[in-house]
Amino acid sequence: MITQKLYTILRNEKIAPLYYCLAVKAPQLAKKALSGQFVSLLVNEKNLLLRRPFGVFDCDKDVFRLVYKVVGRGTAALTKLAKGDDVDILGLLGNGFAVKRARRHLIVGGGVGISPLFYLAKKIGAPPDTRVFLGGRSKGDLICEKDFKALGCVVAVATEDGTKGKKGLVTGLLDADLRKHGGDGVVVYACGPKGMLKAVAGIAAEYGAACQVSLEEYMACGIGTCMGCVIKIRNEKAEAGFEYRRVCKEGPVFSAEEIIWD
Amino acid sequence: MAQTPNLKVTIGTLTLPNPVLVCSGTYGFGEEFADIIDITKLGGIITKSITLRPKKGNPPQRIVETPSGMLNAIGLQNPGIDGFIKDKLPFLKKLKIPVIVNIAGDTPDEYAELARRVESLGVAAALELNISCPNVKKGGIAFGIDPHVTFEVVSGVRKATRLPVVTKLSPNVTDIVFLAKVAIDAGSDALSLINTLLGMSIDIQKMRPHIANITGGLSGPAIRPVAVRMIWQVARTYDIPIIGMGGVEDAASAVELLLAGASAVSVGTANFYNPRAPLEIVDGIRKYLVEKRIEDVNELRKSLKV
Ligand SMILES: Cc1cc2nc3c(=O)[nH]c(=O)nc-3n(C[C@H](O)[C@H](O)[C@H](O)COP(=O)(O)OP(=O)(O)OC[C@H]3O[C@@H](n4cnc5c(N)ncnc54)[C@H](O)[C@@H]3O)c2cc1C
Ligand SMILES: Cc1cc2nc3c(=O)[nH]c(=O)nc-3n(C[C@H](O)[C@H](O)[C@H](O)COP(=O)(O)O)c2cc1C
Ligand code: FES
Repeated sequence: MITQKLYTILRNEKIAPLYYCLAVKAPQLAKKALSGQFVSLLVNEKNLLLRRPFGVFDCDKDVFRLVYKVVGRGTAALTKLAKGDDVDILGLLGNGFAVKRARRHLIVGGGVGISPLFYLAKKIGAPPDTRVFLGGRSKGDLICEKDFKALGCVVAVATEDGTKGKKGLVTGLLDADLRKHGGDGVVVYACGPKGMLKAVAGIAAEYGAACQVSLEEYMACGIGTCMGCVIKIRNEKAEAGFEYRRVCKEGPVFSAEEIIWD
Repeated sequence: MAQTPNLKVTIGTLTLPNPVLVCSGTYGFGEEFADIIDITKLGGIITKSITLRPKKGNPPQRIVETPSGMLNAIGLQNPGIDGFIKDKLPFLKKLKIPVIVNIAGDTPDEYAELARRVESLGVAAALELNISCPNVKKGGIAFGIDPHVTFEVVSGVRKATRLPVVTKLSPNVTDIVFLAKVAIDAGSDALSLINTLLGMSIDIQKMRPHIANITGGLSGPAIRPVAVRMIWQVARTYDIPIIGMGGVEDAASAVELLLAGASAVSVGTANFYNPRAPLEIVDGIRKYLVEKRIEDVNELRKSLKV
């Protein structure tokens, strides 16, 4: 069920430079949300029309949370919302991660792609062989690290500038883990910039691990009517071996081997 | 003074329960929005352009937001008429509101064939011709900016079907009144005004166009004044029903297009940011009429004082 509704803001607080966590009282959303799904918010800002999509960060009884990074005018306007204000949310949108039984679960997040993985980790329940790899440009991008740790997850981090954890890309952590433990019976879940996801998909394939990635595309409707948010999906029967499918409707989570990375 | 003004309008031989439709390409085939709002309260729906064969569409990025509007270059991605029959028809058949089926062809003959096939399905209350799409035979120039081809397309469809024919004109022309005349002379029962305006926007960091197709169609409130102007120019010249579209987002903007001379309005881009917009507009038009003591929405198109 998708609903368009006004929800009351409980908190809207800075959690890191440029990153905010928005909590609303939204029992309908909180009860139904699947990890990997998203919602879209109406931003009250002059000349801005389209809703802004954000992944589910966490749900707890009546409370629905998302984490956003300030990257432009829309997200900057969101920071001005305060406790008690109303926000128009359309959701829940898209399909979530498919959590299957596996020998090991590896969660790989980059920058703003980290937050949609938290609810997933919560659902998986942090069994002993779950590993969380977080990466970002700098230590300020390693959001939610302590939230994952609080769940009992083993977390390893990497930063491109070396300000925290291993210097380099988060994909290096994944590669090292799979090399050591093998890819058999492993499911990799990833969310982050496209370049990172492509690399993650390649590494998972190399070690024979299953891989689900959550993608972002520019969106207008968020519900599957405008055909604006498509990516290339393998389809042997289609002309040229692929078809365009909607990230908002068939995704945002896709099985990595379906995707044709450009 | 009637407290419930008449909202029924007619577009040729087609009667709509109220004057608020939803635009082709912004509503799919109705199913998705049926989850969110009660779409049976709409005046009708205009479905996404369908073509004879399935269309893959353009490579992404296909859309970008612009000031008070957006650009799109979807490239008519649609399942084709066979996919439409298989996957979309069952839902549309059950809908109790008028369905206007929008068609697009690569050649004038394809439009006629689509018209015949759609009529035979018994679901369409009318046909809307999207003539803003590229004419394959003429090197991709849009049908709708060439008067000869426009005549050929519309008259071909006119001969092929008894359904009301609504020609959707492209605004990317110097003289919209002339193109309107061509469509009327070719047998069009009504006109839709306007399709998107050709536009372009550039990512200055990447020094590249935002949209992979380079140019795209501009829609949303940004184009409303152009829509109002074109509707007015055509309506004052020809006595033909017009479905007005272009930046309709609330009752005020809908009334503006009705006053310009439209018989009905259609909501496009606004559905994306406010799925409730069309229903709010139906209520808002009713309120406006009561306030103005106007008993029939059809009076609006004759009420402009200039
Ligand atoms: C399914 C999905 C889930 C998302 N989840 C989150 C999340 O949990 N947290 C978060 O911070 N962000 C998330 N995003 C990205 C977020 O939607 C954009 O950062 C936001 O819309 C930018 O709005 P703005 O007005 O601030 O920026 P704008 O001024 O609109 O744009 C600034 C920059 O952001 C890019 N951008 C704009 N819209 C999008 C978009 N839809 N996808 C990707 N890039 C975009 C633009 O190309 C531009 O470079 C998600 C996007 C999608 C599609
Ligand atoms: C994403 C998108 C897709 C569209 N696809 C079609 C289409 O397939 N056929 C068509 O005739 N018009 C199409 N249009 C044009 C709309 O039907 C409408 O004429 C135009 O957007 C102006 O109305 P608006 O400003 O309310 O959106 C599309 C518009 C948008 C924004
Ligand atoms: S955003 Fe409209 S189809 Fe995905």
